Amino acid sequence: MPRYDAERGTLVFGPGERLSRRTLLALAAGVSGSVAIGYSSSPAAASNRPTARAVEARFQETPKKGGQLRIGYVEPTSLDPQYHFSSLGGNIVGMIHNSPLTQDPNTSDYIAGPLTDSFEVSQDSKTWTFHLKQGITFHDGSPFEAEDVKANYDYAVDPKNATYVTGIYLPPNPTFSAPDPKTFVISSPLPYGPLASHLAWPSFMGITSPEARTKYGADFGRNPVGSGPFKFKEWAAGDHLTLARFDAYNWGATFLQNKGPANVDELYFKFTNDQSTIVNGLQSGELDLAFLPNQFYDQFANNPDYQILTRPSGRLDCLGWNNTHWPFDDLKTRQALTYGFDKQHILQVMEGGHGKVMYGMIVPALPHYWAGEQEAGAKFDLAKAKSMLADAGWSGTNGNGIIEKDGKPFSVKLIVTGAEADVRWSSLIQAQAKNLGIDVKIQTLETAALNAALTSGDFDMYYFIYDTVDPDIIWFFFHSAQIPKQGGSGLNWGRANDPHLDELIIAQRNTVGTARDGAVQAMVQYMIDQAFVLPLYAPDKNTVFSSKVKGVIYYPNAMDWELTDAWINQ
Amino acid sequence: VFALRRLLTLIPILLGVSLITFSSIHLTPGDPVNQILATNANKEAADRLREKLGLNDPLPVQYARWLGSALRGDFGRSLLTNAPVSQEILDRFPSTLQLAIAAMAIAIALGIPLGMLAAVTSRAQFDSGIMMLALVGLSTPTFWLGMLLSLFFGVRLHWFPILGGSGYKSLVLPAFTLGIVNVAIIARLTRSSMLDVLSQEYMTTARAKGLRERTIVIRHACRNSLIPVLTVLGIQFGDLLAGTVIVEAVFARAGLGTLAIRAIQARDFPLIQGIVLFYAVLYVGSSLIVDLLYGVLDPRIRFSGP
Repeated sequence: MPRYDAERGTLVFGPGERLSRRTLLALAAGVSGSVAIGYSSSPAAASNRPTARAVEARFQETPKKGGQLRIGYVEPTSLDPQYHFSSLGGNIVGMIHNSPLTQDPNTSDYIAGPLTDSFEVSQDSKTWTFHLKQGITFHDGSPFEAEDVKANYDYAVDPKNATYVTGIYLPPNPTFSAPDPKTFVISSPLPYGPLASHLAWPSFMGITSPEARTKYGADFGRNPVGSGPFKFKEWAAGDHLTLARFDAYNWGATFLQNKGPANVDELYFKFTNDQSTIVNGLQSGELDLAFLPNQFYDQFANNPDYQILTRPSGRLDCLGWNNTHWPFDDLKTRQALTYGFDKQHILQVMEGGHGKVMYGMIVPALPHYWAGEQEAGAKFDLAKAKSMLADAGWSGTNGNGIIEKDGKPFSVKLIVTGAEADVRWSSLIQAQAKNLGIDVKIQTLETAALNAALTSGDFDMYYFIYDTVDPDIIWFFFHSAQIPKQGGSGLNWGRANDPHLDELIIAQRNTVGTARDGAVQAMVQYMIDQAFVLPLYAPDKNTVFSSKVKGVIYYPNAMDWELTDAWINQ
Repeated sequence: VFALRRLLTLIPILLGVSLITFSSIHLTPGDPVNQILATNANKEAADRLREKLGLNDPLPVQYARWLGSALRGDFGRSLLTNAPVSQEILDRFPSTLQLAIAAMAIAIALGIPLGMLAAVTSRAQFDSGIMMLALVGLSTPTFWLGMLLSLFFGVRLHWFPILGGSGYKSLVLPAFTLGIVNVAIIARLTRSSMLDVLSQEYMTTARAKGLRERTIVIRHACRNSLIPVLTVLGIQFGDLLAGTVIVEAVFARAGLGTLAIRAIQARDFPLIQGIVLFYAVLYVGSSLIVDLLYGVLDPRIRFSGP
């Protein structure tokens, strides 16, 4: 269990310590008597039971108001939730906007968010009704109503607008309606499992002012108007961005101590893509808060001037292969390889051991995680891998150390970018493959060229990473409908093409609530059996901040921070 | 008149540059839509976006459309950020220009005196000492020097901020990092050019007239030996404007370098096109200024128009 650190005033999730969602979900259902689907829909649910945060509150000093929090961050491409493409930079968008739901950082439950008092899901799981809070206004002073949510999501799914993520995170063929100013309804022909986790992601699903979108047109991405705790102040391109406290804010989520306006005056985001620069900036005192890659963990871990919050992230690192290419089109060969890689060693070298070795394709930070994957997957066993390769028809006879089948040596091309981590990772794979008698040739490509190779299929192995909030990520990357065609798009780079896998993916997609656990388990189990891809590890993700900063909340998928409670002790 | 003629040559240069840039982007593998949507590039979203951005049209149509608006002064919007290309560039240019000027000032202030000193000194150790330093400066990788300077003067001593964008103080370390290579180049060039001039016959004449060595160097040798240096300065300045990317990354500064890298990685065609054209104008501009300065330094060089 995470331990409460009285001195730091925060919950500390140590390396290897995980919040078990399953336990907490069961607890939540028991206490709140929530609807059958297993999401606590009542805002009271979270506050009725003693949470870690409530305990913490008693120890904490009174928050001070004011000051500027300086954050090292990646520059977003746009501040419009509907037109930015990456979770990188997304947190800024998420602080300007509210979305209908949120995730309780203490329980990982999806609960009614800042915009909603409660929500319910119909018996057939096809209709979701949201009861909106009274008295919410956008940053420009205009009132927030159900019609605004409808306008946002209607815009998102309209093909001619070609929104980036928002549209594809809503149910297929949806109907949005606003029967009265305080009620918003989403219905779809089929139940849509990922809806709760998607709607709790304000970076992409945040509600903007429809009038402002019309007013600013193409420049809306640089003039955002939302209803979040911080409003846009200025953006110095390439250098920094400042958000200012939204003084009218009093609809903070239930788990916050401070449901009113944020404690700090401003958030100052200093842009850089360079991790060493962030580390230097923290150490020189020019930054207060940043994500901290595991490789720098030790530099801050024992320093009393800093605190670190660590969470298991929504990220999974995998060794991917092209399931249509020889020799990965052979199931026995793929299965043999799953025993052949020392995942713990790769985790150690890549992330300093901060994370968890994975066998299933859904990581613990995601909802509906199946803990059984740890037992179901193949454990590292070099001898077994070799004998299975032999059973699959591979033999090493000519003495060059490379195994062959039908006179063809096991020599394959692994593509990665030139980024330092990719280079390190690929040499580990190369070295471990060599122990199996496999010759891995590494090809380093520039990012866009790598993407082009993944799309065209001109590769044997690739470095696959996802970082997400929901198991439906498998639909994006492994459903046969997403196999890319030449010159087109599609994310099924590994080209898994299996009708049964497609059925399982669709089944988890079309199941809502606790029933989805089983559907996700079936999908994960089948992917282990068929070895379409080799999951390696789920790295932890750290946030580091100066000791004078208090009240930082880190969301359970380690994607975003909630800084309404944050304050500076100065 | 000369300046005007030089400016007119810009037109074919820019046309050529834009055509070459356009073709090379499209010959390189990579697709802007897949880059923009990255790991969200699912088929449905990608197809819609490709249609919206007009990327399904034949390439000549795309080029003609771009050229058409460019001639009207509209360089389009970045595919990645949807901000106007001209705004993306002009937002970052002041920061790049500031850095380049500061680096150039350091390079001139240190490079020229050092080079002269090395040339006129009678002690060989001093000369080779300066040249050795120059060689070290020339071979030091910028990113390494930048990291070292920020660790020492920022993290350790707290003398200077290491993150850009916080006033003139934050310009010191990056300008020094960037300038040091140019100090080396300029010192070496000044030295050889100076030695060349000092061995000329008119120098012997000057000495024979009984002029003091200091007068000879400053009044007579200096101006003449600086002409080749000036040529290189012009080119160096262009390079400084274009080559700030590493320093920008190390010191978290806004600038054209990082913008260009991001544009190329995203295959953001309108933005790449805009940046390349902008650079072309800068290069032509800075060599024009150098040409005009020749006349100031050496009155024999004058340009006559028809």
